Amino acid sequence: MVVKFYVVKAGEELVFEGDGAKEYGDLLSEINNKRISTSILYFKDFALYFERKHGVSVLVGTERNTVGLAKLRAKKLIDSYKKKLKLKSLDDAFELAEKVEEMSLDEFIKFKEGYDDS
Amino acid sequence: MELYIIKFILGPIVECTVELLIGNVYILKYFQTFSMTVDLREFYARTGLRACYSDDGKIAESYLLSEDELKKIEELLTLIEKMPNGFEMGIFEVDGEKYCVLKCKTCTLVAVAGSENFSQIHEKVANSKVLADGG
Repeated sequence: MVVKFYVVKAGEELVFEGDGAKEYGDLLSEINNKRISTSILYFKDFALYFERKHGVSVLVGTERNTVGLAKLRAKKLIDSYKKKLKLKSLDDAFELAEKVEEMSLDEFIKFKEGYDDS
Repeated sequence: MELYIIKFILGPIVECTVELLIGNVYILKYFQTFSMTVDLREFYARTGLRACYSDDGKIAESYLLSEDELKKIEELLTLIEKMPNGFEMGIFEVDGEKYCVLKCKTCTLVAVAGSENFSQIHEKVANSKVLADGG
């Protein structure tokens, strides 16, 4: 196995997968408090890859020489955990439009961060 | 030369892993001999990276760094203190700028790497013989 474990934080939900993942839950929230968007951490016998995007933050544990693959895995995880807009009908779209219209600028930026690239 | 051919054919996945592999070996080698007395000017001359080093979580000496950058580095140092045991090296991207952190028993070296690739930073720091000579 290339990826030993991973921790995902999407909103307030925490997901642990693999051996020893729970030890790194605290570290993930520590890094999350700073303004770090990506980082690679090398330890004596393993490495960690961290990435935050679309309001989802991921910490992937791997071997020291396979960080490149951990990066790909992290991107896939972010894609699967990020919030998605579900617009099944025209009514849903209009509802959303009304919501957005009433928002103040600050509210809109917060709303947008959950979905958008920024 | 062969490396570049592999990179060209197999694209970004291999590029990342191959370069990191090489970087790792060198960095480990130099890291073990990394001593307290890093000459920051010498480091800048060989790598083009502005840097500083710290003792006990506080910046002891810096070279060509702005106040804004020093603030960010101090923030990073508080994070590094909380790292699990066995932490050796880390590259952090903060507000679009990359910071490279090397840790040894007594001190921490932080280099500001602008917006380069992770692998480029690796190569540079690994090839700087400053760390091997100990200044």
